[in-house]
Amino acid sequence: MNHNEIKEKLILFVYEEIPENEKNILEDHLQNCAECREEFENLLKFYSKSKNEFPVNDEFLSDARRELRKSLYEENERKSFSRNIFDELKLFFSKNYAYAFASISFLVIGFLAGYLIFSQNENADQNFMKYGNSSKLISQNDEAILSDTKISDFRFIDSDASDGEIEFSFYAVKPMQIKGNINDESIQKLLAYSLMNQDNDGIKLRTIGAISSQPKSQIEKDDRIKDALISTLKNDQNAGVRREALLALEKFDYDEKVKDVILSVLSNDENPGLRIAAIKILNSRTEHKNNLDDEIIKVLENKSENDNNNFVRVSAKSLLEEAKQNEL
Amino acid sequence: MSFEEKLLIKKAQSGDVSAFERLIYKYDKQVLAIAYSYRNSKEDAKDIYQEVFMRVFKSLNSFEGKSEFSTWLYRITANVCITFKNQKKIYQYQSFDQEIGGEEDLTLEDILANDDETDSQTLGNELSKQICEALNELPEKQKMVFVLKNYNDKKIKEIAGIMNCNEGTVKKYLFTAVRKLREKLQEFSK
Repeated sequence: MNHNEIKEKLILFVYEEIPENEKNILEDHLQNCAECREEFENLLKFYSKSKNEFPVNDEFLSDARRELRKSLYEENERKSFSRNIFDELKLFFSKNYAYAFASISFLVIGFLAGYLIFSQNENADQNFMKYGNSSKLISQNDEAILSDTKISDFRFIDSDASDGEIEFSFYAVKPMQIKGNINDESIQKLLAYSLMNQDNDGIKLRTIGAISSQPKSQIEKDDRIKDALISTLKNDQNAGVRREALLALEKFDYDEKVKDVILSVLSNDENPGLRIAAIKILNSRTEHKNNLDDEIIKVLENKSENDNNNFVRVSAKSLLEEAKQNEL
Repeated sequence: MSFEEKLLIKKAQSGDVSAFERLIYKYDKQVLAIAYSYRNSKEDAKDIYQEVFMRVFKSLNSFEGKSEFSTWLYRITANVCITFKNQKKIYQYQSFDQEIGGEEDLTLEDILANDDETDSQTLGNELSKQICEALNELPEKQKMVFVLKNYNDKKIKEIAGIMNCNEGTVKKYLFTAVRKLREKLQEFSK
């Protein structure tokens, strides 16, 4: 080996990437060659100087995970929405519907052609509901409607009143009040929406409270609320909201989804109270403790040894021991 | 690949976000560490982390298990790091599947363009700053090899898998990176 080759090997030596037999050759060479010895010492100095630490602490990692969770759930929602549309379309274009679709298409094309040829331009392309005459607006019960309607995005189209007329657009949003059965689809949709999109923690807690307050036997097997609770449990920044979501999930059937999220809380939630609540749920849900599957046991073993909270370690250990005793 | 990992991949491929999270939580700290050591900025590292895992989530169905999941994941990480452009948050796609040609794939100007965005406060002392500056002057692939080896203790064989090249090429990048960094640091100390 010449000096240049030796110098390259020395870099690998520093990074512990050299095979044993070559290591001996290098060590012999270093003993006899002052130039290479100096080079090796310089390399070691460079290595220790350049070995900066880039610590990834728990807070940094939790921050990154929280942001990712949000994006993942948004992406999943988007995916399932497009999947549903695609499935509907697939069904629609399936053989059974193909003839019906063809007939309807011809009818629609016919109507459209007739409309384009014979109709007059009535500004049909306006997105806004148009009121040509303000007195008509007042006379058609709209006064009552406007009394509790929130007006926003007020824009002038024509603010020149020299001819006596002005034109503007706005959005009118009316508060709604709904009373209905908690298991109605529309009520469930609204509750799920409230959980997923509300910023106000108080409202989220009341929404979860409403879900939890129904008797277990009456909870419908609709996944919408369950998914919203799971998402809240994983994404919400408020530990109190997450805790209520976890307790509300107890009312639902213990399936793979629920098991996964409980294990996820136990493994990753930074709040020890939630991790303990997760262990309690595992304890109550696995009716016979020998029902604990390998996945749960693995997480419990990890927690019983490595959790930074003493009570979590003890709780995990005691559940494991109980499971072992039941096996005997 | 363990049985548990295969199971989680299968679940995640069918859109199970919980399974996906459990799958990646084994490796995500390392991904964040690579991104952080590559960019020397926590904000950039978080952006890269987010981009990496969204790409993984979206393309998990194309993962056939021909390589280890970790190798595939770190390959995507290296790709995103190398193509990360902070100013406009644009990711310029450049695949490692393309053959690695000469060492100077990117010009010095390309690399220096991002210098002002680097969070130099993270590294306390002057020497660390110098090392960081010198590192930023390396072509991206040399820098990535050095970062994976020096700061993340990856084996050369593993780096070759991540960068989809042979071990000889990795060694060549490493030797050149070390030589250039040492020269640069000597210049600083003059």
